[in-house]
Amino acid sequence: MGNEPDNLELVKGSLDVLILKALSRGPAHGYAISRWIRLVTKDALQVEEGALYPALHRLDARRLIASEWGVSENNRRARFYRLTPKGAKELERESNAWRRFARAMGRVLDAPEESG
Amino acid sequence: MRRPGDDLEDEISFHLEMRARELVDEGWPQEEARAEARHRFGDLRRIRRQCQTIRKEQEVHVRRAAYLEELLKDLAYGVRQLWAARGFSAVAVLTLALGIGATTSIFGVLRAVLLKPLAFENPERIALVGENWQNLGPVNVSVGNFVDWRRASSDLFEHLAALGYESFNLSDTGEPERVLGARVSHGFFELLGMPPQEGRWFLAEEDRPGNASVAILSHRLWVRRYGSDPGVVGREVRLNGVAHVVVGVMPKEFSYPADDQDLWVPAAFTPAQEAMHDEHYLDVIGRLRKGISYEAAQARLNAIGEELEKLYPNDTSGIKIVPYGEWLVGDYRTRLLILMGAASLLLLIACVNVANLLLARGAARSREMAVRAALGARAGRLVRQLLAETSLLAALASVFGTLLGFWMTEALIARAPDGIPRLSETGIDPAVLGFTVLAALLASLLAGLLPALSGARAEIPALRSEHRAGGSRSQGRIRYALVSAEIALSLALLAGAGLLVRSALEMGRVEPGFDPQGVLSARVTLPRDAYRDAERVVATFERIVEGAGEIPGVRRAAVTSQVPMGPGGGSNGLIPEGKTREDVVHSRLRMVSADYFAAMGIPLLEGRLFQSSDRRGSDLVIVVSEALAKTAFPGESALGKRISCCEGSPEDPKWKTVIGVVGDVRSRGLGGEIEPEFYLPIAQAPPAAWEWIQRTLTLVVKADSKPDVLVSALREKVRGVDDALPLHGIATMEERVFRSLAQPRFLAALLLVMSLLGLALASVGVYGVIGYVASLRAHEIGVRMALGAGARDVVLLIVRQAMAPVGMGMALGLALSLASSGLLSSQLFAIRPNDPWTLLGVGALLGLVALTASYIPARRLARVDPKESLYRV
Repeated sequence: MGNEPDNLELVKGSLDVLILKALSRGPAHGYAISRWIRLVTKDALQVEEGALYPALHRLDARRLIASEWGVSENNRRARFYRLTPKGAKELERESNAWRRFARAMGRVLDAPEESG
Repeated sequence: MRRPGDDLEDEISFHLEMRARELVDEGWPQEEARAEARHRFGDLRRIRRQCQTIRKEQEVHVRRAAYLEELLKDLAYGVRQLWAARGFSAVAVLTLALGIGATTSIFGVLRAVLLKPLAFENPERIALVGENWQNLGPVNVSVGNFVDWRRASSDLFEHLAALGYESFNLSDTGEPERVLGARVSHGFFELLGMPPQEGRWFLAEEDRPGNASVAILSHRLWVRRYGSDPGVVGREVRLNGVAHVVVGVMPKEFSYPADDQDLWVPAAFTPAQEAMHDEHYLDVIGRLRKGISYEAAQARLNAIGEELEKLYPNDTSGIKIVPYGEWLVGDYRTRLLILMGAASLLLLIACVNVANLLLARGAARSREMAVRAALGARAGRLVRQLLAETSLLAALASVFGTLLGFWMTEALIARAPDGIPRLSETGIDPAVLGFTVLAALLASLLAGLLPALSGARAEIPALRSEHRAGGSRSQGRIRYALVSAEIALSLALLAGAGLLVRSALEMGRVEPGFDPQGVLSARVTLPRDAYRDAERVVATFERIVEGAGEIPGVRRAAVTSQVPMGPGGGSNGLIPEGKTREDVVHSRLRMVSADYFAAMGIPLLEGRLFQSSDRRGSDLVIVVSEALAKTAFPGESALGKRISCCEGSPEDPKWKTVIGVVGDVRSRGLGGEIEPEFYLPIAQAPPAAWEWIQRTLTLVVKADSKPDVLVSALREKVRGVDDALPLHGIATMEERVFRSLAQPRFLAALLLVMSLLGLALASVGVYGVIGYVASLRAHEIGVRMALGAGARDVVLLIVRQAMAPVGMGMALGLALSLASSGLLSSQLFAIRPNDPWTLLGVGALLGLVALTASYIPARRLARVDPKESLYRV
């Protein structure tokens, strides 16, 4: 685990949303998903990279994503994940929830301090 | 072969490699990039484990879903198949339903009577305690003995209580009526431990003379007479003319030992009663203290008995204790086990029959199975498919079987003779339904597995068109085995039924020792308070007898303290003159009026009968039965001998002279043993005896008129003597004789019905199998006939072949019925369980049926034109 002070610990359950979001752009293998998350968040979210795989398998078991074996860009055998319609719906629900949460937190933290 | 885990490894190593490459591009050296990639990946082992767990869970889930899906498909396919063969399905379902229904209804009764625990608290500690007279114990107890036992055994029992039956004239604001009840000593309700529904139990101080004017009502009486009014508690009612306060109402489930009592009052024994050791009429029950076994209690009671014997040397019977529950069920255990055994045999026959049907169908479907096998269906899948069909059959059969069981149970209870304990508790409850489902499952497995296994073995050759439709030689063998099984089961069933039927017939031929024709019996009880004086009791009964004799059509009228095969009565110890107390003869007492023997048609063998001159004050006389004469005076005439009994003391033995010997009577019913009996004229009855029998005598009237006309005339005459006296316990003697036969006849009839059903099923089974096996040989027979064999030869050939498995089955069935003879023997009268004539008879019957069942298909085959069977494939 990293110790850089400006890195955020991953909130429980948020990895699932990140994966779904990554896959909403199109099918991808595990490595590509992890890379995309790193790039988009600019490494702000500190995540044990391997933790991605149990999350992927869990989502697979819940039928939110589906997988099949394919060939990677460098001709390696790789497992490709894609979003199912059920997963797309879940992503929409979850991102709304996250947005509401973030807005609410923002309002609380940005509220002017009142005296008296 | 790739293992499932390999996919995960590939995925991980792909990730690590790609990550390392990325780091190299960023400028890391090769080796360090690899290490860094691994470091950033995290704990490899933990991640691997997490992934595998998720994967496994999912696999189980997927497999289960797939299995369910296949099962649903199997079932849907099964439904279509069964619907396509509706006739077959209906026969199979009905056959199984018959077996399941029979076992369900018998099991329902079995559960109510034998298995369901009694509704009392810790029922296993409730014991019946009795005198062990002639090792017949436990039998009824005298008040003196009860009081002594209670005093001596307080270390054994939490409570020891006595119950004495009594009938009461119940009057309040409504119409007076006669109800049967009991006097119970304190502790009776406490030891049974069932709290009253309304009010309370008796208090200890209410069990004392003069303080006992309280009563507890049964639920039934409370509902019937008082409309379930809780306000009845505290109300005053008159019992036999004496005011009593109702203090409680017992709940509906309360029954001891049968639900025949409607009223209880405290026993409140008087000191005089407590000193009586000669009159035995109490039921005694006790609740054993925790941790005391029946063996320990029996040993302790033996010691108490020996102690008491020193005090009362003429009472040498000893004490016997048995678990109340066991005693209550008594003989019914064996009878119900016999019935359950018979029902199970019937179910087995039904299973074998359905197995046969399924085999026949399996043979017809061998093509279908072979096609499916050729298309890649695994054998296991085919077995499952066939089992699914059978389970569907079983499910349908258990639905119909339960309905049939309901109906059979109702019919059973409606026709059952009186006196089966707890029969009214019979019902279809969850346990019984569970049993039905279990029986259906077992039946479907039994009936379905064999055909399914042999069906799934169908091989590719079955596809070739020249392969004859039908099964193989191994299937023929299986079918013969089924025929043997069916014959064996039916023989065992028939043999049991045959023995019980013959035994019931034998019993029906027994002479009761009296002539029941045209004799009516009805009980009359004189209330204690109005009839304390013995002379008044005698005079009243004599007036009643006289009045009854005046009714037109009445030929003879008399009274007796107990009518044969009827309620009441007791036994006394007799001491012949010149003998000591050691040689006491226990014998049944009857106090009768002069015409009793004539009314009942009991023959006088020696001497004379009672006359009107045999009164109190004149010489005391006694009439003895033949059995008593032989027991008390072996090898000599009893006439003129003197006997002491029922009253008096060693100083004043009150000798009674034997004036006559009469024929024996079967007092306990036609199946019962003959007991020694003696008769006293009511005019000379010991005054105390009226208390023993609670001033109750049974009128016996021999008449030409119809019973109902006679009953109303009798009622009028009795009311003419005292208008507060109702008649109760009315029955013709023919009814009593019939009732004494009802139990064995009922058992025999049930078994007969089941065995005939079994026989019908078995004959259908044999017919089917022989017809099928014969048809397999049609080609060969065609050849034989073309070569000159006659129809006779063909029939002989096939029938002879069929008789081999039938003979085998008979031998097995014989062994089976001999093995189960132990269960039957206690229920047989005048016949042994291996009675050769019965076994030979049912064997011949079964043989004949089997012969007919195989002759018909053989005959049909022999009629076929050989040309036709030769060309048939």
